[in-house]
Amino acid sequence: MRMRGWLLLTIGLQAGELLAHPESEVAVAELTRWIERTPQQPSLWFARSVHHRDHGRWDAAEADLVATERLAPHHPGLDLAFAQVFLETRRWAKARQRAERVLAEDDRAAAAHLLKARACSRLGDTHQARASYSRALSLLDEPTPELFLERTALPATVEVRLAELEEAMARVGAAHVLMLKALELEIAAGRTEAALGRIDRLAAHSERQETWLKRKGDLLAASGRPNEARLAYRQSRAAIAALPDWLQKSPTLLGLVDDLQRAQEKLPLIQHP
Amino acid sequence: MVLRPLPLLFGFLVLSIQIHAATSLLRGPYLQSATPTSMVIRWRTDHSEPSLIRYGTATDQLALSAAATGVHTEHVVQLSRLTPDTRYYYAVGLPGKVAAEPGPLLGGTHSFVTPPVAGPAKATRVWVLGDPGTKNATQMAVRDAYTAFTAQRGTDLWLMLGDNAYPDGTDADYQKAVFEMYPEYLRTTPLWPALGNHDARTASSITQSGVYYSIFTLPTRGQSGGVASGTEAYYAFDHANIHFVCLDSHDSDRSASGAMMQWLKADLANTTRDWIIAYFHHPTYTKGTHDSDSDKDSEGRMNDMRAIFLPVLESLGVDLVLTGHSHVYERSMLLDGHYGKSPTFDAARHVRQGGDGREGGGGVYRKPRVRTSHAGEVSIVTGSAGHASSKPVALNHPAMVVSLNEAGSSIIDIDGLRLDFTFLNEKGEKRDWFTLVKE
Repeated sequence: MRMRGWLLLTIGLQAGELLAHPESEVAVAELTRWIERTPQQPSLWFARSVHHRDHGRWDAAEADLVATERLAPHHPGLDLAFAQVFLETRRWAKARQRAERVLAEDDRAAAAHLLKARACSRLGDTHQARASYSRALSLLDEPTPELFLERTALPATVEVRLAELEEAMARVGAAHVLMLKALELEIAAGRTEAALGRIDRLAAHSERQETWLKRKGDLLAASGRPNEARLAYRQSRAAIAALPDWLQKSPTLLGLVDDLQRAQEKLPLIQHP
Repeated sequence: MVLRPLPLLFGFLVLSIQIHAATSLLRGPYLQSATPTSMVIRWRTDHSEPSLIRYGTATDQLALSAAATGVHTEHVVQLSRLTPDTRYYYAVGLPGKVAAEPGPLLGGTHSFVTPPVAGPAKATRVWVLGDPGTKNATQMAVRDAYTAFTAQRGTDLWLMLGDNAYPDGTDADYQKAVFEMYPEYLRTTPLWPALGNHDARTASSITQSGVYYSIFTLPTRGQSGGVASGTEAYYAFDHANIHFVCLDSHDSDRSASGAMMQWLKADLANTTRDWIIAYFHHPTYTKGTHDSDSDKDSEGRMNDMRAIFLPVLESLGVDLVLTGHSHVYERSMLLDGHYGKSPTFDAARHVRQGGDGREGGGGVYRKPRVRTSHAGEVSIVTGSAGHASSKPVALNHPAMVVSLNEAGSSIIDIDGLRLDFTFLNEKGEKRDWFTLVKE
């Protein structure tokens, strides 16, 4: 995660007015002139490092952070900024160490928990990574689906990962990417009934049903349930027929109708119970 | 010292009445996350007060009320169970002295029109502002030029394409560049913003924190139409027969397998609207104050949006791609399939329809009514609502049919299956226009 300029504001940066120009290069040049005049001012070095970090200039950012630390070892935001630079430059252990320094001072620093989680993940410490992600997620008011997916990407049992996704959906709502990931996990685990339930849920949140019904039919067919598959395929065709004419005639939907036809033809003859 | 309770109580009463009387609006009200049946209204007061909106369908009959729990200085109230396509009048209210009694109003009475039901066509005007937030005379001139242009027509919704408040997207920047710049539009017309690089100086998409995410209430659960993204960084909404998708070209994962891309594919495949308009900050093609051919410029974000996202947008039927970032106006022909740098542009392969797209000129652009992959889109960089470039810029991207180094804003008028696009400069001159029809 990149450090944000807003950190500058929260720490009351003295040189804030220097960042008033919209173009970063100009701001960096201006800060450089100020640094040449007053090289003992740590906030100037730190401010310049923010610009370098925002633009992915990690070596330059680190050099400015080293200068900041030399002048002010306890400069606000310094450890977090170092953690970010180390993470971006793949020095995982150092990133973790810096993040832990932040957390030693403030255990509610969500950004530090997040950096620590990512560093631990790269270091193979899955247990700590999961714990740090969970702590970060609990501290954020509005965590994003992406963050939940990062945690769910860590190795764990299907049950654990699905529980994490359910927690995510309880927090952020039925976001498409979360529901899709849950479906993927259910299918990979061979849990057909659960997967069918996930498809129904995805369909319930979609204005258009046809592709979800096709997918449902495919799953049922692959599970040896041709009658139900046939029904799902028919429902998919009915959903297509309910769309406006100009959508029904789209190449995508004409292709789907062909796919449905082929899928139905592959099914064994109707089985009577 | 002995405290005498009566004078003390009186003192508290006087003080509280004075505070109550002194409460004033610092920001807003402003309209967010519009749906045909709901509207989010936000505002800021200088003192903590209950969040109360009084509203109704006649200016002198604000008989209905909605409130949020608690007392706040940042107020967010959602009006629900509204009637689509209906004008509502509203005012920010203060509590009455007696619970059952309505209190005074804070500020005047304003109005908005709820969006029509999604699907059926209804004439719609969209105002598009790219990189507006300079707080300077140019920004004001651009605003005033549009106000004179639209006159009594009114605006149904407005988009900001990022860099909404320079230099750092701080709360103070937003106060001057947005809330004090567009007060009338904010309280009458829903605003749908995108995140720009300057907004991202004080905001983080991955944690949805910082000023931008605090100021705006955007649909994360598909409540305004489209598929739920779960984040305010990128989202979709419907208005009549138009589907809008807002992407985060700055701070969200732009990879082909990322969450934003997964959501975009699902969202575009899900819509049944006639028109699809995508907007985000970083342009796919520009030779203005930024160069989309440079890998280093904007850390490759323009490359990502062109090489990774544009193919998906074009394959799923997007009609317009609106961007800012480059402080110029550049408008393409009806294009498809140009995902490389400008030297690879080949008009024979990449232009679905050339010319200027004007009636009486080169002819309007035409797309098939049947939604067809790669039927063409018009890419527009309209990033000069706050300033144009002060230095000469190349403006020579071969995909563009019009390139202008002028301040201005853009207007989209959609009526049924006809889309009219206009670029209006800060002097009120109509400097570019084209028409796109579906048949």
